[in-house]
Parts: sequence; structure tokens; C-alpha cells
Amino acid sequence: MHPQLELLVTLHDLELTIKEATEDAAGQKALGFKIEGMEHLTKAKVEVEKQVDKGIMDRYYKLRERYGRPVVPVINGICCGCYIRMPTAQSSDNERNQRITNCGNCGRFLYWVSE
Amino acid sequence: MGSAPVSLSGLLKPGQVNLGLRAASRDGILKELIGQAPLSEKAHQILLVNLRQREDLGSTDIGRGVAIPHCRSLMLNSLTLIAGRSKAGVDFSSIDKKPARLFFLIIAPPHDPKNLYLITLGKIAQLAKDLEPSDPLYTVDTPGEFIGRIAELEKQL
Repeated sequence: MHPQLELLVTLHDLELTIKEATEDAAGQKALGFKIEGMEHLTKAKVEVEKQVDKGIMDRYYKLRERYGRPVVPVINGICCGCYIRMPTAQSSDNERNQRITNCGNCGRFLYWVSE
Repeated sequence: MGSAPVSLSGLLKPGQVNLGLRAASRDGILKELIGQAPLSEKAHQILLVNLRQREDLGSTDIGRGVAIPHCRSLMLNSLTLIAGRSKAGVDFSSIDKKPARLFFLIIAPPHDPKNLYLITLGKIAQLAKDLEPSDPLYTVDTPGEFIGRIAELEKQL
């Protein structure tokens, strides 16, 4: 996987954890889970952001502002952000996660999930 | 929360049950559990980072020897449930200070229209709440028996 794509995926998953812990803290606590170390996650997020190239990070922020989720999986050749089918040549390329790719339609960063 | 029915015994496959976890640390257990998921080495690494961060937020050990590590991740396109058992038990910073012996790892994709992730989390937490220390889940010998016992417990919920 392209190192910058790996960082984007890590950042995306981390932001999701922060969002759910923030929005559903009461629900998580009711199930018996502890929610007490938000500062660890905030710090980890900053550390990941520092490692992403500025141009990519700027695009990530813009996409996040516009769509909420700036990185989406491609499943069965379809962008899970806008549900447009990717070109066959792109989808069948085994090295597709070895570079940073954006959806030609919605612009979101793409990650091809193993199928 | 949605109302989609979730069958824990249906989600668990024999290859996703490890009754002989060997690790003696929290991170070691997480790594062993993730290893049951049929994903690439890179995906395993990213998931481990994600799960460690979730544990840093607060322990997912809910007491009575049961921990439910969980996260959402782009690495998967469907909800995955993995179960494990450690004979010796591992410190997971639990509320009751008891080592965790039973583990239920839940990983779900971000796109989850039926809200299966939270429903599954809730169902396991509910199941674990009434679990007796003498429950067969702690002693059965095979993944098939383990899944069978989960099915029995589900009927009682």
C-alpha cells in the first residue's frame, strides 16, 4: 500500500473512532466500555496528520468538509462514496493501492478492499 | 438504533474462533485475534493500530473476564466477529480488575446502513453480563462447541 494512502486510511479510521466516542459516549458507557482517554486519540491524530503531504492533507480536509468521509472503499469496482463504477482497467490493476487515487466523479480518496 | 436481527452464532465461523490464545499482553492478544481474519499483512497492521487506539481511549474489558475489542475500519467490507479464549487470562484494564479470558473482536466497515456494528456490540455485552464463571464457553474443546454454546445463550436473551 502507498505509504500516504496508509496514513489516510489510518487517519480516517481514527477520526471515526473519535466521532463515535464523542457522539455516542453515553451508549458506549452503558454497554460497560470506558471512554476516558480522548486526549490520546487527539494526539495520535495530530501525529498522523503531520506525516501526510500538505497537498494531500489539504484535499483531505476539503473532501471531509464536503462529504464527511473523505476516504471510501471501492467494492466490486464501485466507489462507495458516489456509487459510480470505476473504469475496468483501474479496478483490475493489482497495484491499485500502491498509489493515491481519487474518484473521477466525486474526488474522494479511494481504497480498494480485498475481495 | 436499527432493528436488524443479528445472530452471533451465525456471524462466527469455526475459523474465526481461537480457543488457545497464547499472548500474555493486551497487544499480543489483539494481534492474535486479528490474525484470524483472512486479510493481508498490511490490513492486519492497520487494524492493530486502530484497535490499540480504541483501547487507549478506554478499556473494552467489561468485567467478568470478558473483553470486546472493537473498531470500524476501511479494511473490511462486511462486519467480522472473531472470538478467542485465553486459559491464563490477560490484563485488559478491566473495571473489576480481573484478567480477561474471553474475547470477542468486532470490526465493521464505516458504511453500515443496518447499524449491525452497534447491535452486535450490544448483544455481546448483554450476553456477557449474565455469563457465569462456570459457563461451558470457558471449557469447551472445539470452535464448533463454542459456537453452539453461543447459540444457546442467544436464545436466552
